[in-house]
Amino acid sequence: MTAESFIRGMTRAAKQAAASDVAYHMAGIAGYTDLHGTGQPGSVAKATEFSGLSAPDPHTLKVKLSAPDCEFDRKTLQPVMSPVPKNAGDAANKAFNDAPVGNGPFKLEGGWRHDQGITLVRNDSYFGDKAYLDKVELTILPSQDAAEAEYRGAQSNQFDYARIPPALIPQAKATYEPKHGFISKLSYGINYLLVNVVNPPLNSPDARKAISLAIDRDAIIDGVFKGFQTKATSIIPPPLKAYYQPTVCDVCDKPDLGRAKALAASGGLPPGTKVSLAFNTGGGHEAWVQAIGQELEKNLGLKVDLQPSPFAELLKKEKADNASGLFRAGWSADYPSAENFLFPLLSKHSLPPGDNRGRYVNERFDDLLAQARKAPTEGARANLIKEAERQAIGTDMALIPLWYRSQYRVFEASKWAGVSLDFFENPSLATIHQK
Amino acid sequence: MAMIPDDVAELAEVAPPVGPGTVGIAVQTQFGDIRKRFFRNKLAVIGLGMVAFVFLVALLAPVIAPHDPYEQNLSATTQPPSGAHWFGTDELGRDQLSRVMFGSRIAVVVGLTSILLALGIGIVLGSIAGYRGGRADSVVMRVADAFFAFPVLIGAILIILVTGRGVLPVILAIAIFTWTVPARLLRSSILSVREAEYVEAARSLGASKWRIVTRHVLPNSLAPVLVYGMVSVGAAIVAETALSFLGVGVKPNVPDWGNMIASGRAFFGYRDFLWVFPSLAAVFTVLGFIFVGDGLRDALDPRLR
Amino acid sequence: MVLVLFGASLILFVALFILPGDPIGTAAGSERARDPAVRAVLEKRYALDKPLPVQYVRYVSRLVRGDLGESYRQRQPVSRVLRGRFGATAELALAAILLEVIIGLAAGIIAAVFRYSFWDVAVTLTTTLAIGVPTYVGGSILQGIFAQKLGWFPRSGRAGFSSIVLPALTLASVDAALVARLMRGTMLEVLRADYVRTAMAKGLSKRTVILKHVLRNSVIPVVTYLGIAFGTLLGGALITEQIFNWDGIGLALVTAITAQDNPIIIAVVTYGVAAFVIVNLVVDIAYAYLDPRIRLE
Repeated sequence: MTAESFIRGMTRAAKQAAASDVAYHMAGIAGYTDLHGTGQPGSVAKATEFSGLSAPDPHTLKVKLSAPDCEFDRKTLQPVMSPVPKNAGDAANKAFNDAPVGNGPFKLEGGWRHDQGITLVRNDSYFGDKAYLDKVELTILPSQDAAEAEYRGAQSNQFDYARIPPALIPQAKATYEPKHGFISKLSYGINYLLVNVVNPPLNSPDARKAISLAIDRDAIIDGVFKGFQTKATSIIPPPLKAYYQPTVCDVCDKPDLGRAKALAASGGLPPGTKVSLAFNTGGGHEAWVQAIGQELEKNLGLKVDLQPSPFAELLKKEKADNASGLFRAGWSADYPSAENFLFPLLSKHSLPPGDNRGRYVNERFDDLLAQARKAPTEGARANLIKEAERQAIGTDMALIPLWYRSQYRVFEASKWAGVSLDFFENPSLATIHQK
Repeated sequence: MAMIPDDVAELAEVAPPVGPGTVGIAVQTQFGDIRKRFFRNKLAVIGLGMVAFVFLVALLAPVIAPHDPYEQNLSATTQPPSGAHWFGTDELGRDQLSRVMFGSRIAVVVGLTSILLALGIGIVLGSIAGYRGGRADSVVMRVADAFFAFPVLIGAILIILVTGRGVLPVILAIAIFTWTVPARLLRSSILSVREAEYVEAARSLGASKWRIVTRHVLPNSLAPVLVYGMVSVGAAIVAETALSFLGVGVKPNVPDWGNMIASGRAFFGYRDFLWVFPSLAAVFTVLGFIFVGDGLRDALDPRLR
Repeated sequence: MVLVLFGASLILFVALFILPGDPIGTAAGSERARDPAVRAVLEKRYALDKPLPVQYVRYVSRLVRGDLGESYRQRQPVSRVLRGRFGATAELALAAILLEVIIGLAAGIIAAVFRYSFWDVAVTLTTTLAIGVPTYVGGSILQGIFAQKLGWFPRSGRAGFSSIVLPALTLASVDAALVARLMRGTMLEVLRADYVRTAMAKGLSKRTVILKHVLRNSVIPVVTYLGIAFGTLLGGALITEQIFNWDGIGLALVTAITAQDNPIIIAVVTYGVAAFVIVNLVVDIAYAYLDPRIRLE
């Protein structure tokens, strides 16, 4: 494996013909648009090489960026920038895609048994600390009720490690925590309500703040989640310590009905207004969405129209030109970066087809972010990012934060130790060892 | 093509015997006999009682339910049954007893309406096929075959995904995939009746086709169809709950047994009362309809007893 | 018969075409942004930019050649995705039919022969319950008690003999109950028939009569019903496969519907209809063999 392998891997994914939806992580590298296309209809990418990448010698990879980006090193966490061997072929090469070869602590044994499972064995030629486990069996479960199947499987000793369906987290904690087999972690994510800010009835900051003030997050977390969520009073979550501002959203902490009603009146949201609340089915959101619906109806006199839909349809609804109202949304960071919470969700450069589906646009906000990218010190950058969040959330309430992202897992603690969650919320396979 | 599966099909061949001429009186005596036989059957009477009970609850729910089935109480979620809440509370603190009561309304409405619709479509198309015969018959039967072969649940899901969720789409979806059986039953029935003597007699007397169909053919061929209808209401109710269970039924906040079972299932082994009560309600209702259906079938054909 | 198939598949195609949602979204991947560059490539690949009739013709012409298209979600050929799963569903269908035949027939025969006895009543009650309890409730309960609490059988998945027991039981229960009732009803009717009474009057033992005449004639409507049941089972049992995580085409269908993976949906449903139609054809033929009266037609 050499620096060439990285170039191979990155070029392979960035090529337009690969139609990769994760290639955008490399958008900051020079030569990307030549390889991938500009995204405008009719754009044809002519290049076959990634001009921004070069390997002056087998142990050095040189990356030229199209604009300064102090967080580029974190972006390399993304699997899309993994090295690939010479026989990988191009992105459509199914043989390689079914049995990929990487440079991590484990390697695939056999191929990817679609919808059934994957077997991993230790990679003894790994360059870092070798893993302890000899073999890992991953079972692929259908996405319907997957968490439940996992958890039940763990209970009947079919699996050593599993997620937990939200309804059973209290039971899981009570059963597994005494045995030290319960993991609880606040991860790099946020659950929020996406708001369409250009169409009525929520196209004014006052209206959105009214909504936020009418929601009793504590009651929902206690009643529906039995306390297993952490209320969100910002968009950037606590794990990003240097950037986290618990007070940036002053209307997210406790409900204030008097103020909410006043803001609703001034924001053009009188009682009787119809507001839609769309959410995706199959994610276990039915309960809390109904709770919010009823709170808004009781506290602000609104007519809430609950709209369950399959995930793909929900996205379509959000992007429609006449989209309006609230949409359940969640975001998980691509890499440990505060900017990754603000830029993809709220920048004008991220408007659809990007992830800024609420269509929030604010020049000052974008300026602050651009400056933050060029900031010479971490401290300066943190200040700029915080100011940006204050603009988008504190002043404009472009999104309504609900609760952060908490992850819970159970594992067989009598047999295993060294189990924790990594950044991608996956088990830390490389550190797990037998007791 | 395929034969009718149900044991009800037997009835198509055994339309109640009627003498020539005195159709009116004969039909009346039949009803008296049928009613007597039905009520002698203990299970059938029990079934009737069960169905009547469910109807009553459905009708009186707004009056007798102790709480508002939509009212949430976030400080008392998933509480086990207690004095204040006989069936406990669900994950939003809503009273389950009230929700089960209101759920009966959906069950009854969807069950009855979808089957009535299916019967309606089936009777119309079945009589066209049976009475007109020939081309009309083949066309209707081919269409019926295509719908019959289409898996009911999948078809219903697809329809609902297109139209959106709600009570009306569910009713429509169920009716669209169940009309084929009554149609076929009626057609067989008509085929055997239309050659009967009394129809010949009426025809030779100059009665119009319409009169023959409505006065003579239909009343005597409807019996198996009605029995099928009664038994199917139970199946329709189960289908409705299955659709809610799969997440394509009525909207999630509506008190509906399928919805309750679906969300309660997540708490299996932990808070079982969440799914047990709506399941019992569903089973109770379906059993009632089955007993009545069985009773009707036995009463209509004394030879089976 | 081919007409039925085409009819059903056309209905399906149209329905999926009208469906709101974004199959390209499925093909491109998860929640993330969709690059127009990516969209353009995918739309071209799956011919989704062409009008409906063109798409349908394209699909059918490929189908005839054995090419079922490519799954949006997995970007694999549909035939590859479904290959192993047909076998899984067939396994379950066979196991269920076996149970239905054995349990259903036995129960029905016993109930008819020992009429009004304890057994008759027991069978009637059990069958009524089996029909009255919805599959997903029954299945969940069986799973909860026998797999979860008692641990006698694996809770889900497809591995070895014991894992097929619970799903097959769940699947077979309703049909077995109906078969039992049907068998009982038909047998009772045949037992009263003239030729049977004649045979008994002639001095033949009850057992011979039953074995030779009654059974053979009673079983005909049951066979018809079983044919329909089997044809339906081959199409995949959605709920049971979902509850028990059984890797059959029913489960593939459920996942495909949520993800709007249209090629899979079309393939599975069309196959289901085809299987149903073929099985019923076979049953019709068998029917003609069993009932000499029909052969004259």
